[in-house]
Amino acid sequence: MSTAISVQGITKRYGNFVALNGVDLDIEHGEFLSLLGPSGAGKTTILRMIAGFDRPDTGRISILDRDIVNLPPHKRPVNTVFQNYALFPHMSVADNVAYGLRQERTSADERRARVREALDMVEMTTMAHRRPDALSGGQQQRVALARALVKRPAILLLDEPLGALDRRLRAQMQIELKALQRETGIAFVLVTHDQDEALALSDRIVVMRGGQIEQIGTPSELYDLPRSAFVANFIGSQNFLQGDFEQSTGRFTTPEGIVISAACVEPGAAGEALAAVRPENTAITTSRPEGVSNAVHGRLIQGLHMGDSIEYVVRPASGGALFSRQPRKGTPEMTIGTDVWLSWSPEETSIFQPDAEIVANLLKSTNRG
Amino acid sequence: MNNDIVGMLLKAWTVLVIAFLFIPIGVVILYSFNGGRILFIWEEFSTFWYAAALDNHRILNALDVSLRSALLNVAISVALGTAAGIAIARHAGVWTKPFMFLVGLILVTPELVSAIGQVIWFNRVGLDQGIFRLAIAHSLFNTALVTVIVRARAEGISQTLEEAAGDLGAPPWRSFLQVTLPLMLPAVIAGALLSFTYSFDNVMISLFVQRPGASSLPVYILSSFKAGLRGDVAAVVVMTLCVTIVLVVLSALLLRGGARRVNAF
Amino acid sequence: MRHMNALSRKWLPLLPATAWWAFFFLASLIGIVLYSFALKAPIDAENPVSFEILSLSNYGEALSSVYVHVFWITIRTAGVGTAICLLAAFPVAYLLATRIRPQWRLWLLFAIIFPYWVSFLLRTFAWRIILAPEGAFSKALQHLGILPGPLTLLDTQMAVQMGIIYNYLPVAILPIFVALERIDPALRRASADVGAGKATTFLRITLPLAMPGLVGAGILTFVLAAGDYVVPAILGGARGLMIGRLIALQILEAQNLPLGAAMAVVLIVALLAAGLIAALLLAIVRRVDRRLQGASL
Repeated sequence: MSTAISVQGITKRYGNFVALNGVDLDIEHGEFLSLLGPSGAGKTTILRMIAGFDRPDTGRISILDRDIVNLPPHKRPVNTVFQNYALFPHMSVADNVAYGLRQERTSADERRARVREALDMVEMTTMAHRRPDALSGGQQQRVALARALVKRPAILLLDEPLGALDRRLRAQMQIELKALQRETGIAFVLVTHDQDEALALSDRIVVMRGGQIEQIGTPSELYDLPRSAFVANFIGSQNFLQGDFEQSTGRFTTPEGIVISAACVEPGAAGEALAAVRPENTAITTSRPEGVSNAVHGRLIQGLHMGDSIEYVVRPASGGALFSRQPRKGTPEMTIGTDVWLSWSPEETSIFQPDAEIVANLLKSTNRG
Repeated sequence: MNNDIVGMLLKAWTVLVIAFLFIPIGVVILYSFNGGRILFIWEEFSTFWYAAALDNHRILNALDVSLRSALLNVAISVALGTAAGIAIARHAGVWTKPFMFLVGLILVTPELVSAIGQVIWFNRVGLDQGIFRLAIAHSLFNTALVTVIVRARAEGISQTLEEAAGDLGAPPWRSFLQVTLPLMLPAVIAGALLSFTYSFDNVMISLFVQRPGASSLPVYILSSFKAGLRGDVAAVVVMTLCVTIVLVVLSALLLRGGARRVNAF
Repeated sequence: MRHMNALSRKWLPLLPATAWWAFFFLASLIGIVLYSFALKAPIDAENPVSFEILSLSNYGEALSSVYVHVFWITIRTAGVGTAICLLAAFPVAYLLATRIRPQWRLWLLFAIIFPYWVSFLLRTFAWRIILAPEGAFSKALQHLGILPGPLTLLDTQMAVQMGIIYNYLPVAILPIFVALERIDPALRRASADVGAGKATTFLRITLPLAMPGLVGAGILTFVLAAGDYVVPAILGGARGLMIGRLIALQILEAQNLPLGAAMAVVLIVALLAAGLIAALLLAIVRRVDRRLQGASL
């Protein structure tokens, strides 16, 4: 694969607010890339800069080594699916899809053929003569996709395209979106704050925070090897323990004296640190298990049914809450209120530098407990 | 029980108010068909005064002045108000507040005051063509009116639509012509119709700024009251009422129905 | 630099309208103030207004007892008209906002707005037919024995008062309706839920929340009524006077622009003063109300 668009050293300020702070990103031909992060992380700003609606204060955006920062939107080989679709209300579905081709002065025959092809692709051919306001949300979404894809862009930009749909429709559209991307071979750049959506669809995910990129990687890389506590916490769920990490010995000790061993350590972690383990990687037993190095004793205070699994909530003596997710089949039900042991192996454990937000949340839950 | 009585009283009162509002209008319409020589003494049903009105060259002359000045006023108001309304809705800046203050000032200034201002100023700058005086004086209020209507509509149209047009390859001027303008059209037309009716019905400002020989229809009607009530005046009033109703209903439909009904292509 | 240009162009479409208003509207307002200090020139002068001597003599005349009396009648007529309009409008607005099925609401709303779009002249003119001493209404009243002789309302201040109320009633209904409509019905239910009676809910919840609409309707009606010329000119005859008529007389008949200008300035000042007094009264009422509520707690 080769680079379709390259973003280098982009910064953008709005008054005192830094929207983007030195972002570098290469988007490959034919990949499905997601920009994931909480609101205000700068995801949409990047998208709008690639589309040409906003200009960066500094930095380059280049296609085939040509800088396009000064190119207006209508001259860029990228197309956008907008958050609320932005279908032209005064044009039929077919006219909406044809709009971009009309701008290129495509011949009438070719235009008709391509509009038909695009509508076929999203299964909207029968609705071609309807007005957008006579369509459901999911149908509008398909038209918006067809309108952008008919231009055969180098990159398709999608700004939270599924945000307005209900859950069932969302799941269905995710499957279709992925299939469309495979079929067309066009690079998709999806802005989303929904980690499940990003994990399900993407070849690569860019996790953003505060105008900077935290980590870029495949879904499994981000899930299994998060490089920071923020990424670990943002993707999937995570148990955090506060403690002290001694770099020379590799020992992590909680204030209560529990010693945790870990296989992965974030570079630079030393002194005050966080140990993390995912709930589904823990075991829960009534007695201390033999031969497992990481174990915390506590009281079982809740069992939440999650459909195919049960999430147990354990309160250690130090307060707070730890979670353990167990498959529903094959595990004996535990009795609420009993003393239990939560244990996990060092391979499933990571040590991170402390993250202010996570520490604050930990303190809050400890005080409450 | 208590609730029912209150509800009944409210409904009865509302019916009375509506009757109070409509009966006088009905009376004028009815009496315009009075064939008698004295308007308010009913004699017989006749369309005599309608024929007489359409035969009266002074009425026709006044109608001509009214139409011309109203149309000129519409052209000015729509051109200035549309540009201003779209701009103020699209781009906020330090100028937004002072500008909207000016618009508000124009809308709340009593007609009497602005009429005096106009007559003083027009005489001072030596503007003495009757039709221009009428059109300009009316256009001051109507430009503000169009600005407000167009602004409201422009704010209702998502700016993303223009971005979408650009994204699909339309340069700014084409996205304005193909997307913004067609969507704004109902508001612009409604603004034009309301400006027209305002000018066509206006008495006070017209009375002050008019020139001898170039009276607008309402001013002619007002002056003819002083000479006594005549059937042809009632007939003219009812005819202008019909014009106004058609225009107002049209603009209401446009403002409500909005973009759905207007296709640019 | 390019960016700066793009920014500075954004106000450009406002320029034509602003220039138009600056030249014809703002300048004319300044003109009124300047003229109010000038004097009417002698008949044979080239310019009908003389700026050789600037004086307050126009104001002296505008505030002489004759005119002050007419100003007072104007304020009174507009004030009484506004009060009656508000009283008549509130129940209609209340019905429209709270107690009507949606499919009826639009029609009722249309029925209220419609008369306002009918020519002002026609609506005023109608009363001359209705109130005519030899007209059908007058005859019917005499026939029924309600009146001993023909109706004598026409060409009196009473007829002007009536015309004012009739013409501005629709203007009063709309702002009240808008304010009432914005009140979340849940607030009334909540009030009933905590045990308040219907009257208490109305006085403590609905009325205070509708106050901005009432004030808006009042100001609008008052300003329009006080500046009216057409109603007194058509219905007032020789006895029905409002300041609009006197100003028109000065400017259109006597050609005394300076005096007319001074009277217009006095009118604006009087309107502003009336608005200020209304705002002050409202603030006092609110404070007293809060005191009373505090005491009951």
